[in-house]
Amino acid sequence: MSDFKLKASTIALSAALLSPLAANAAVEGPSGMDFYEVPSINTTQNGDLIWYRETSVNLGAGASLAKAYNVMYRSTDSLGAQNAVTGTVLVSSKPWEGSGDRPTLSYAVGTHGLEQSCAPSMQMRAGTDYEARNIRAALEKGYAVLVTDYEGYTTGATPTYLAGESQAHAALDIFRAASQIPRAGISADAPAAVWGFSQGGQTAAWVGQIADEYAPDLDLVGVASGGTPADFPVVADYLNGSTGASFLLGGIIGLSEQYPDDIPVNDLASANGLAAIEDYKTKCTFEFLFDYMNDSLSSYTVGNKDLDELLQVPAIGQRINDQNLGEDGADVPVLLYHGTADEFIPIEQSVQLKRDYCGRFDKVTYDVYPSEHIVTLFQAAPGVLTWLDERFAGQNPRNSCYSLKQNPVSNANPGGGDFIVTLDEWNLDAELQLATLNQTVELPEDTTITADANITDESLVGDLYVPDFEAELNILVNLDVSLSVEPVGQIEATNRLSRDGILAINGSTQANVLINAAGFGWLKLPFNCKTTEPANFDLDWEGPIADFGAGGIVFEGETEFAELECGWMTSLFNALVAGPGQEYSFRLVPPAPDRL
Amino acid sequence: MWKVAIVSVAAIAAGLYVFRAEVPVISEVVRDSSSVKVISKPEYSQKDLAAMTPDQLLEMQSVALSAVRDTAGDAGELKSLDSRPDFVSPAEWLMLRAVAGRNAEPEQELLRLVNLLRFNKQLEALEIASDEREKEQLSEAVLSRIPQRIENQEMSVEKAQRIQLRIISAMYEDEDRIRSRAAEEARRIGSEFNIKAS
Repeated sequence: MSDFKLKASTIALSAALLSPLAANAAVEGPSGMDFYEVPSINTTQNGDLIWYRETSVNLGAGASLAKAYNVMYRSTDSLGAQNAVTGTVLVSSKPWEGSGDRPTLSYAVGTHGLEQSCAPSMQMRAGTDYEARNIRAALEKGYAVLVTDYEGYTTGATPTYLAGESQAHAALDIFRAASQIPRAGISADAPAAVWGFSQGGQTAAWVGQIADEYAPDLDLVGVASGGTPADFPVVADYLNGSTGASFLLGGIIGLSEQYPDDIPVNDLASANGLAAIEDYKTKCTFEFLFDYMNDSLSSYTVGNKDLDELLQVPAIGQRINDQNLGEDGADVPVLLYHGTADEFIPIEQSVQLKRDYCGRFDKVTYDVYPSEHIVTLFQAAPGVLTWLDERFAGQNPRNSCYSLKQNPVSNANPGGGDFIVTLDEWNLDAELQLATLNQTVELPEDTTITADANITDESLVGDLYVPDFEAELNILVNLDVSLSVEPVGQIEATNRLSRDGILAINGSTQANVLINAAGFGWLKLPFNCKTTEPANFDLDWEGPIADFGAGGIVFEGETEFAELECGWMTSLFNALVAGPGQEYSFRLVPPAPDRL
Repeated sequence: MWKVAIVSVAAIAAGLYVFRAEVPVISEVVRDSSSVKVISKPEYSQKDLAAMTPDQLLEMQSVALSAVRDTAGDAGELKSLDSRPDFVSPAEWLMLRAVAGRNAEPEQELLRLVNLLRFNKQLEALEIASDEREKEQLSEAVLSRIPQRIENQEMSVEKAQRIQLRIISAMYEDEDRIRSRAAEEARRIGSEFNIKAS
């Protein structure tokens, strides 16, 4: 029996002997960390509020947030045992303009780390939650957003990380708990949905499979599941010794917490493994991601048993396979989405989940993103929220089950080496503000950057591509010109991802500006102006990793155009176009998704 | 080079021909303000210029550049403008007025652009000058006018220093003279001149 279960039993016993507070009465919980101590309060059914308190959260500037509450509520683990789970309830400040009650969205977070301070409720309060951007976007829609911590973040416990049903129970039970907060304005009858990515995608898909049975009274209208680990042996094999190896180690710890008899981690782990587990439990995502990158499970096991051998142990294999999705159908419409370059969770097993659901005639929408795992988490948010809006509005979803498009295949970078995020023809939404002419010149839409951001060695090297384009310069009325921006050399930058998820890019790129032709309409004559030295564009940016995928990286600055050589117009053009104070703005946007 | 120039002139001429509509000129922009002196309209309209042959336009450019070279020793900045200076061709005048006309302070902007154009032409003339006396005069004129370019934020200090050093290196053979003059000019733009020991 784990320490937590022992503790929970003791609490239950105490509750029986002492005089427990009345069931179903909303109790205001204590301040500070005492809130995370499980109290002696009787509850009658799953989702009952144990206690709550108003709290403050920092989701970044401009969050449409009216009120925030911490909640502790009753739930059950994967084996049906009663437990207490904490979470955060966020009420949008935006009025709900659709019909009926304000919708409620259970946002199921991805991997946060097993340490208590890594819990979403703690990180949102501290302003460090890396998924805050998506939560903020959901609040902007006017939804009430419920964020479960999942099981195991109460004081002294260890999360049952990746135990699918436990997570789904926690994500479902928070709906009822939120509706019991006095004067929060959250209705138990409101239309509900669940959205999650990665671990959260696993949670959302599990919700879709069990909601009818576990929470039959809930008006669940859909689940959005991205980066979904659906086939656990396949995902585990993909992670083992690879970039995302830390998630495998975390999964073993979490599942052994849920199934201590079947996955006796203390017996399986070598001394090195036991030390790693203790260390792992003290870290959050962007710490252990790097600390355990490319490690093989065999380096932590007694006798150096690797994953294959462990999976052949019947009890272990059974519990790992118990987490697989797709053996049951989805009770509600499902949005599945995945990045083709996902280096943590292979896209093919997600496509197989779609096939499984489609085989049961479920309503499945499938979106394919051209990006890796972390980018997809944030890039997909607008599409997901549109899909959720349509579900709340009662519309029929686009069904990808009958798509004739070819199924996507992985183009992820190989694991086992440096962690490299490839920007494959990312769009550069770029404009130049010419100082003297006082006009904005927009670079063409298909301006792109192709680069490798090596997170391990902290470098970013790539190429800028700007096709020739037409523009009008404010000389005379307007002088139609054909322009080229001719990159000189490669983009070179440093690229640092801090252990709290802050990305910093510092570098530059150089380019010459050419005015190739001038004229009007169909009449174009050679002009041949070219800067005599390339202009330097500093590429400096720092912000949350979420902005990387969400198109929020904007390089802004001023540059100086060197003199142009333009024949008899040289002096004039140098007076009008050359010189310092030329402002630029380059927004980096991942390529658009494809829809099956 | 000459061929390119002809084609370029043809391009501008074609443009001038196509765009017959009146451009926004300074006189129109400042008409409402009685405190601002109204500059007379250009002596050539777009229509006039558009009707000219490339040779005629080139000739105008050539005349304007000659005016810069004829006054090579003039190192001062123009303080006001009553009409088109000789070193500005009619086509350039038309374009400068159009650009300045979109500025919040069109008269001042036109004056700034005209002074900058003259500076650029002095640099251009310096590149092609062969007469030592003319080169010296143009070099001094450019050097003396660089601080104003910095003050007007028309070039960075780094670029100004590169121009200074290029000109000074051509003016003197003696390394000490080069260093001392470069240091003097650097001070005038609020910078320092350092040569790393090789």
